[in-house]
Amino acid sequence: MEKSIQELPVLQTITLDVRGQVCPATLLVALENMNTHRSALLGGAAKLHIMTDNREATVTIPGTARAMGYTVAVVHATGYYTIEIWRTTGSDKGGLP
Amino acid sequence: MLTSSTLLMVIFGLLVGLIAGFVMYRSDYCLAGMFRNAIMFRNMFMLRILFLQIVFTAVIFEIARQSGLLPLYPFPILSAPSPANLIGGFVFGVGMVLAGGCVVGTLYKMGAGSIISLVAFIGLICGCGLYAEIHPWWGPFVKASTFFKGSITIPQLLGIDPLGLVILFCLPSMVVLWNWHRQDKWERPAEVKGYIQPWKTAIILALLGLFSYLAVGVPLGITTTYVKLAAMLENVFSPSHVSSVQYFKVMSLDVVHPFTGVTLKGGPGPEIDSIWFIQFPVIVGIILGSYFSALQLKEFTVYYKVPIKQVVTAFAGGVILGLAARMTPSCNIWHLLGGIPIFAMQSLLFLVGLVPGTWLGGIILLRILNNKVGKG
Repeated sequence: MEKSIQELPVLQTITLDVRGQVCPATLLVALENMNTHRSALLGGAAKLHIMTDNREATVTIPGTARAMGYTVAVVHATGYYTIEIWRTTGSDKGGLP
Repeated sequence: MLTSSTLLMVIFGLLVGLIAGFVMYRSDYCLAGMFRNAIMFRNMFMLRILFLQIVFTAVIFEIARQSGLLPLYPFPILSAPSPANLIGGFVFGVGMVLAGGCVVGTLYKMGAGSIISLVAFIGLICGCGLYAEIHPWWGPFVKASTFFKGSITIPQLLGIDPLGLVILFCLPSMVVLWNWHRQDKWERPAEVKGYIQPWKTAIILALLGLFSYLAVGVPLGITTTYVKLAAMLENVFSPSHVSSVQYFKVMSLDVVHPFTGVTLKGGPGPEIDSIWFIQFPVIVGIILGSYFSALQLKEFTVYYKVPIKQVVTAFAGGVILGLAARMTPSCNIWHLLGGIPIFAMQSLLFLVGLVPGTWLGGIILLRILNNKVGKG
């Protein structure tokens, strides 16, 4: 069973505010940051916190992140969604496809 | 003048648009995204849904035709194919990736508060207006390069009843669709509120296309009204110029609907005509439908802090999209969800051009964003 994000010893939160942006820019931003912070994310030292009001991104970003071996949580906030991406123990993926 | 028949057309168009906008927002039914995600990210899910919609539309159109309900077949405005359809499809593909949506996707995203889509919409109107200026050169090219004159669809070209081709296309397609269904490939997990699985929206849109065809003689299409909007705006500032533009005098629709007896007559000029009464309410309906959909979910928001690079790209994409929608002529909704189901050769050429255009648009977009996206 996957750990919840609150249980993880996350040291750094990388926040991306892509509200107002549409696809594919939102997915590209997420991919770029997953790549830039790959080591920290893979080591469990960081998590991505993405704020988006683009519903399509709540499908495309989690789908891509999960395929790369990350754990994802989507939460509805007021007027937008947050997508949390972090690493739990499991498969050793994590690079860009 | 608003007669009872035009009033009915307005109410009908508004209802069709409201339903379309509502479900498209809930399903993220972005036709531009279908091709873009397949080509850029190898995500084929939404293309499968589009395929479902095309097959379902082909079946219900043929059932309606066999029942004698489609006396205007092929529907008006379609014509024989030309390389212009291919070139237009290619340019359209580039534009829709840069704009972040097609002519309809832009509307429903704008209805939910997207500033980028509003900018793309303004670009679209500018692009359509720009086309009117180049029509004196492009129009003769289309006319001179048209081939298979007198034949609009493949069945017409082959001299066969469309039913045979519909069966030949749809039966194997249904086997493929059924297999996808058994493999759970019609649905995708979604964590947003009020999500409608896209296959349901595909069926609803196909039915709306049929209702439109039955009621006003043409399936869903809206781009001529984008030109009209451009012409109307230009008319405010320079009426003498508008009256001198040849394209604004074209009469692209001039038929009497055999069932209703209503004369459908109109073109891209600034006049309020049948095209306006058919298409404008649909445009307004899609925006409002999406607005209500987003509002109900408490998701309607307007964010102004958008990277300027994306705003400029969306505007440029909109201009290219508008230009292409007239060069082709017509948009992806018209061709993919109206023309292809009846095997219109124009529409098939549009699709052949659209795929490489989307690929090129993706490459251009990646270069424009250049790893700095989202930080502007």
